[in-house]
Amino acid sequence: MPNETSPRVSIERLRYRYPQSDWRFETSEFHARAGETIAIIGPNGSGKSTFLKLIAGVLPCGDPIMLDGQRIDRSRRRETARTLGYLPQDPHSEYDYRALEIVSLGRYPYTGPGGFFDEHDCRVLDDVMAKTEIETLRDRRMSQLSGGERRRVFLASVLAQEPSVLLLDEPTNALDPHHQIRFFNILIEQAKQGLTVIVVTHDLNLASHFCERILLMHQGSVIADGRADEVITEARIAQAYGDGILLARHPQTGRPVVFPKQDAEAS
Amino acid sequence: MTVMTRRELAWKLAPYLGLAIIAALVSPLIGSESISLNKAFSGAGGIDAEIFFFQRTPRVLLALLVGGTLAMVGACFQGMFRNPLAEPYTLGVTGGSAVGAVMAIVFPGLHFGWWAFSSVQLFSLAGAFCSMAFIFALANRSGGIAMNTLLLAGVTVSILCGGLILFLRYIASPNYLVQMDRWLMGGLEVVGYRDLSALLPLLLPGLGLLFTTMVEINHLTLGRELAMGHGVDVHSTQIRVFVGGGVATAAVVSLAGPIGFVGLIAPHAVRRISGFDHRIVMPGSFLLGGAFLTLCDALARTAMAPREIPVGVITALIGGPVFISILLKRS
Repeated sequence: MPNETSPRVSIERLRYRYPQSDWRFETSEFHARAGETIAIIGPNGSGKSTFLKLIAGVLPCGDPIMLDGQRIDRSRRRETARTLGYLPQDPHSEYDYRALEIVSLGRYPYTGPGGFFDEHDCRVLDDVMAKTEIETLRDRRMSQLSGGERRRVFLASVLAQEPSVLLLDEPTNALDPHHQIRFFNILIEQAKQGLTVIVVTHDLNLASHFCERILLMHQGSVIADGRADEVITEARIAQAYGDGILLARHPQTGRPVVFPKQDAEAS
Repeated sequence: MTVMTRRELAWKLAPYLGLAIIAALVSPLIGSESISLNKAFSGAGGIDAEIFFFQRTPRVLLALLVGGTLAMVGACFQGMFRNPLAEPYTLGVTGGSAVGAVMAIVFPGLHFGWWAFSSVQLFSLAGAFCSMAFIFALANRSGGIAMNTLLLAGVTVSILCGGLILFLRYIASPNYLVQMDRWLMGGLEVVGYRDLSALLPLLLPGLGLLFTTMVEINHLTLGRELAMGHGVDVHSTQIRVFVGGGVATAAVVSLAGPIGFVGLIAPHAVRRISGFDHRIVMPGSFLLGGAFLTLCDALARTAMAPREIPVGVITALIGGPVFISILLKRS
C-alpha cells in the first residue's frame, strides 16, 4: 500500500500519437499526490484532454502509468475504477434518467452481476448526493435540471466510485460564474479530505484561484508545472496563448488573474 | 435504475410476463378452423388435438421466441448504439441471411436437408455469419468497436445484399420467385417441434450472451468514455452484444425470415412504460415482443381466413404507424 507521501499517480514518460495524425503528445515526469488540486490549462489542441484520457486509460498507451503503485494497463478496469474516477467533457445520456439513477451507476465497480445494491451502497449514494448538494434533485429527470445541476449529478456519479484520484475534463464549461464557483468549492472540499483532483479547464482565473498546482500545456507538451504565480506569468502565457492576454493580481488573494488586452489601435 | 431491488424488478416484469402468458394461451385457440379444447385434451387424438398440439402450439412458441429475440436484440442495440432507430437488422445480418436463403431457393442443386435444417436455413445462417464477420473485421479496433463504422458497414452490407438479391431474382427461374418473395416477407408457418428445437443451439447462447450485458448497456447509454470511467470493459461488452445479437438474429431469421418492426417498437414501448433501466427493458422487450408477434400471427392466420397473410406484413402495418406516433411524441 502506498504511504501518504508516495504519489497516487506516477508517470515517468508518456507519449501518444493519434492514428493518421502528425500531432504528438509527449510529456516527461509527472506525479500527483494525495489531496493535490491540479489544473491543466492550455490553448485548444494543446493536449490537455489527451493527457487526461491517457491517465484515465480511455486512450491506449504503451508507456506505464502507475496508480497507487500499480500499472493501470495491467489492472482490470473495474478495479481501477475503485481508485480512479473520470468525468469526460460534456457527459450526457441518450435517455432521460432520473438524477439518482445516474448517480447510482457510479457504484458499478462494487456491485455484482445484477447491479443490485446493499445498505453500504445506498449510504454512499446519500453521502455523495449530500456532498454535491443534489439531495433535492434525486427523483428529477435529467432534462428538468439546469446545466450546473446536471454537472453536479455527473460529479456525484463519479464520486460514488469512492475514488482517490478524480480526473475532470472541463467540468464547468458553459456554466455561469455562480455554478462554476460552486462546483470548484465542492472539489476543494473533497481534496481537503485527501482526494487528488486533476481538472482540465480553459478558465485560467478559476485554475489560479482554486488549484494549488497548475500544468500549462502547449503543442502536446507540458511547458510549465508549478504554483499559479510560477506558471501564469507574462512570458509563459504569451508563449502558449499569444500576446493578447493581460495579467493582473487578484485584489484579495494576490494570485494572478487574466484579462483580454486592450488593442492599442482600437483604443 | 441501479437502486432497484430484486423484488421491484420482479414486480416490474410481472405484467409483461402475464401478457406473454395470456398471448401464449389464447393464440392456439384462434385460427381459421375452430377447435374444441375438450376434444383436443381428451387423449383420443383426432383433428382437434392435431391442430392444437402439432400445428398451433409450436407456431405460438416460435412466435414467442422470434418476437422476443428480435425485440431484445433491438433493445440492446438501441442502448449500445445510442440510436433510437437501431434494430436487429442494423448489423446487416438480415441482408446476408436473405442472400443465403435466396441462393438456396434459386439454385436447385442447393436443395437438401441436414438434421432438422433445410438448405434454406443453413445457407441463411451461413450468409448471416459471413456478413457479421465482414462487418466485425471492418469495425473492430484495438480499443473497441467503432460504432459509426459498424452502423455504416451494416447499412452498406444491407444495400449490397439487396443488389445481390435483385440479381438472383433476375436470373432465377420464375418457378422460384413466389417462394423467394414469401421468404422475404417473413412468416411463421410450416414449423414443428423439430424446427423449433433446431433453433435453440444457436438462439440460447446468443440470448445468454445478451443477458450478461444488461447492466453494462445502462452505462453505454452515457457514452463510451463515461462507461469506461465507471469501470465497464466496453470492448468486451460490445463484442458480447455484437456476437450474441448477431447469432440470435441469424437463428430466428433463418427460420422465420426478416420480420420487421418488432425489434424497433417493443423496446420503445417498454421504455415508455417502465423507464430506461435495461435490466427491465431487455427482458421486458423479450416478453412484450414475443406477445406482440404471437398476437400478430393469430391475426395473420384469421384476418383473411382461410388464406394466411405473412406475419411480416401485419407487423409492418401495425408497427409503422405506432413508430411514427412514438417519434412524434419524442419530438
